Amino acid sequence: MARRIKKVKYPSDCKMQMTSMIDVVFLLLLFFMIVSEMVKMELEDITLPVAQKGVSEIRDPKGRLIINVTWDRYRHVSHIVIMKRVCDIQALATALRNAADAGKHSQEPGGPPTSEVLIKIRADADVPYEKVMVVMAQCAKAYIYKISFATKEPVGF
Amino acid sequence: MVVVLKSRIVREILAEEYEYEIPTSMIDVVFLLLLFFIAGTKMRKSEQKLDTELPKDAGINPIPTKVIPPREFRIKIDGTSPTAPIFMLDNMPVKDVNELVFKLRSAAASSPQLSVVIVGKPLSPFRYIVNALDACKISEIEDVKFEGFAVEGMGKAIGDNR
Repeated sequence: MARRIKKVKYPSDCKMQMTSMIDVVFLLLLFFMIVSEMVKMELEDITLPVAQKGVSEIRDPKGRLIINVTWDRYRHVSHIVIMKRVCDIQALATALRNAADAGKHSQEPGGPPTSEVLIKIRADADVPYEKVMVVMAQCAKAYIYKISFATKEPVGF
Repeated sequence: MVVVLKSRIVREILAEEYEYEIPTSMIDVVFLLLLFFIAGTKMRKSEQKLDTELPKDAGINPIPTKVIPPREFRIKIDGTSPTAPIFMLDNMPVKDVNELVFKLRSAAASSPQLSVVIVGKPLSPFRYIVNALDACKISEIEDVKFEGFAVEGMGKAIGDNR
């Protein structure tokens, strides 16, 4: 007599496959870890002055030097900071000279070569004008005449 | 045959039980770390810029030019006043930046080759200098110069003291 073999049905496990999800989550984690560390070295935390006709930059121009002029409201002290380094006038002059030497030059007939390097001055809104004038004077001394001032959009625009 | 089948089923069950499972507590830890770094990431605010060009014919290394200066307006800024900044356009007082823009626009309309020199007091906050430069940009005046002064330890800065 042939016996019927019972087919036993085992319940299928409805487990969530975490293997690929953990890969995705690790990738996201890695991304945010790197991004949070890659704080722009060139930018200091500064309250920028407001301007209506400021032009947004889509991309940072190559070879541009950013000079931060910070202002401590409590101590009334200003610092010139380039790439997270506080600079005195000599260091500023050296940095500008190096930037000018590395960039292109143009020359008017009978005149010295003027640098085509772009300088962006990120000065605090409350910093005394004389501190910014020091930076501008050093730029002119290095034959760098193309400068821009960092601004922010007015609120409500 | 039943014995063979049973042993096969038992083997399958055992194989399933020994299958490696990623513990769910690890994903909790990873999510917490992710949340930490998401919350800690600062979003960079988009910035704008005002382009300008320093005068070549004045300052520490003046480059002589043959260009005859066109009609020139001088904006004097005194931001050291405790009440409100004082703007003077060609020695005429201006109430505020809006009036400065209005007067510059009228001047630019009558004299297209207009040049503006911004003269700021050394201790004036930089925001007022930017206001003056912004007013020139709004009035579509491109030829803007900055007048300098003797900066301590620097000798003469850019521009001549007039």
